[in-house]
Amino acid sequence: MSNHRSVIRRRAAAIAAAASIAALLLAGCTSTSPAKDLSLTVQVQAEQLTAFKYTAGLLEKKHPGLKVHLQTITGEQKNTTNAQVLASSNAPDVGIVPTNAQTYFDLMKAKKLIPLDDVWKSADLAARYGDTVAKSLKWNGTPYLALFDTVYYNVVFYNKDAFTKAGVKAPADRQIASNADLYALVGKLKAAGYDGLAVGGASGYQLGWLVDAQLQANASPAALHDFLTSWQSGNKQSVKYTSPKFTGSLAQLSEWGKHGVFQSGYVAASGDQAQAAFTSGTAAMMIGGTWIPSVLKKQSFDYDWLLLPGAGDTPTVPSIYAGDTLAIPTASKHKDLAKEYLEIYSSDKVQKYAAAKVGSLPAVNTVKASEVPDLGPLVQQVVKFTATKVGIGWTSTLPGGLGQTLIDSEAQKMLSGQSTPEEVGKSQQKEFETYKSDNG
Amino acid sequence: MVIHAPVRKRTKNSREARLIAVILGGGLLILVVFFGLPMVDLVFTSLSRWSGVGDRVFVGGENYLALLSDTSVHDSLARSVTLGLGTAVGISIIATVLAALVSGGIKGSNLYRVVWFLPAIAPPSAVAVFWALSVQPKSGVVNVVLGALGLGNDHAWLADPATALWVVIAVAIWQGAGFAFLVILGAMEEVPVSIYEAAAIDGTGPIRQFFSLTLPLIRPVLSMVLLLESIWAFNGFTLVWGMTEGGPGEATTILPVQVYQEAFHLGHFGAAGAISVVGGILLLIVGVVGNWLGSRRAVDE
Repeated sequence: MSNHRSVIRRRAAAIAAAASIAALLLAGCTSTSPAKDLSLTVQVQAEQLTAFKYTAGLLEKKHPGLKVHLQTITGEQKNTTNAQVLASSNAPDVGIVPTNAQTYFDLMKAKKLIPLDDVWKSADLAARYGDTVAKSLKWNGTPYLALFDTVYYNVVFYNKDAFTKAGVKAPADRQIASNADLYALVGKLKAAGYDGLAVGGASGYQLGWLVDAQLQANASPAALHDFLTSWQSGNKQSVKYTSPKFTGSLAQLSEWGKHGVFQSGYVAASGDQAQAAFTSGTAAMMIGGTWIPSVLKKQSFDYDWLLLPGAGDTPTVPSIYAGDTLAIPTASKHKDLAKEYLEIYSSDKVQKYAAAKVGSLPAVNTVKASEVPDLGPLVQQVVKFTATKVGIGWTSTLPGGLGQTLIDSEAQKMLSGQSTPEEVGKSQQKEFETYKSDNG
Repeated sequence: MVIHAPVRKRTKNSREARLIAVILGGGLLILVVFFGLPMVDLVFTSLSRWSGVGDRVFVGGENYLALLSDTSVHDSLARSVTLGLGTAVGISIIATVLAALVSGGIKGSNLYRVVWFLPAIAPPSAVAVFWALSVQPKSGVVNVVLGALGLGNDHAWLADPATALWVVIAVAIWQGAGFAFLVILGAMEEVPVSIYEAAAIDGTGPIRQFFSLTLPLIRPVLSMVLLLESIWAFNGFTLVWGMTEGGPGEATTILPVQVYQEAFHLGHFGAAGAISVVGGILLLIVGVVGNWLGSRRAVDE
């Protein structure tokens, strides 16, 4: 009797299991057939949301039933934990992978991104990026990234009303010629009740920007070239980071700190706090870039732009950053749609839209900034200036763990009196040697 | 019948044993999956060179040897201990005083029970941002108030390596005192009133009663509060990261912040794992010692 019951129970269980499997299979079949269940996940930073949404709309229109989900990530995330997200089995279909973030190098070494030769070919990206940028976006000659904008940074915005009140005149050529001129200017501003230059010492990138500008102005072309390329696999270092060619630029920042060039508490200020110091009228100047006019649209005072001095006679110039890039993880479930998204974002139509709506400069040379009046006159002026005078940012080129992340923290340490430029140089050299021993 | 009764009892016992085994097995499985395996993985990571993605390269004790000579780790450990002890001692003193006032029937004590607990329910990240903004020079509310009092409004405490950690400790005390206050108050209210009455008859004043009766009687609870607050503050990543990100420079870099920086900023997951293992072992020792010190047995001995 008991055996009979047990057999019945087993059969019932087997039938139930078979029915469940059949139901699952049917559900699986139905979910893949119509396009209405398709979805694409794309990472985005809040600043670019409008343009990414616009691109999503264009793709959804092309594929009825497709839903593009935009996944917002922060600047901190894209440079840190995003490598683990993009390497995971449930990675988004399109990820943000800046060229100078440690995440890019880690993902490439682990082979977690797919090549984008077909996207580059169909969107003609090699020609539309130009040789230098195209080369910088390739890994051993193969493209894995698609650029979505370019940026010029190390531009100082100043409050014209504050300058007038303090009796300060900005240089006609926009370049403060020397430290003496800078100190005199800041001294007058302070006498009028303003702080000098607002910098986010705890932002994790703005002190690195200042180092970029100083290296461009102070290091010899050969030394700068070495700093920009010696980290690459197979290259030998000819100028050490302990050399005055590097530490001299740090000493320049240290001097500015001692002369009170920056706003009160700048060492512990975030990027937002530095911006707030400028917009609230506490600080008369702010370090920034070409995206700033798009976020200061409703400012109550007039502002203009200028450039900081170098340590010698050479003033600084704006630095270019062409490293805001998108990539497709190998774990993406909809690679073809993800590639289409990248192609659409790279189109002239979206590039113009993004420039007009979020203030990002076009990533491709088939769209000129001058064709986008919404960028405003200040940005147009900076772009025009950079046609002849522009620098390549050191922190925009090196892997984050060796460049931006490291130097920002070290510079903060130095400016808060915990180390000297020479000690920062030693730390940088030590990390460089560790990197080279690990990566060749 | 005489034969069947023990059989039924044995069957019942065996069913109970099986049920207990299933329940314990489930608990054990959860422990192994969510605690044991990550621990093993952490130890393995600490013995590897790994960037966080891709293959790990086994390097043996290399990361641990590097820790021994790395002064930045020693400094972070010292800061973690300072933060842990400073916060725990501060919280315990303030919470005990507040609890004694309420327990003693201070006017408006019901209101204070709520008000003093409020900071404890605020999210640590919000607390960090609020206080980081509040102590900003010129614009921060603390500096504005000081300025209004003629004490200057330009104090940049978080930008000064000499003061930044103390500001973090002060904020940690502000946030943690409420929870400790409730726990200690509960312990004080458990002390029988008759003891105080007897002491009062013997002519013992309130202050003497507090030091000679209340404190010894709530010692196990006080020790537990001290221990837990030390451990929580030692591991207090959110508050430190939200206020200073470990800066200026390394002035507030505690071990958990250094773990995060090593792993996610520099891609040194092996070193980060080794720091985590060492920090965990230290906390385990602190926990065992603290637990014993707070036990009844220790009180008796």
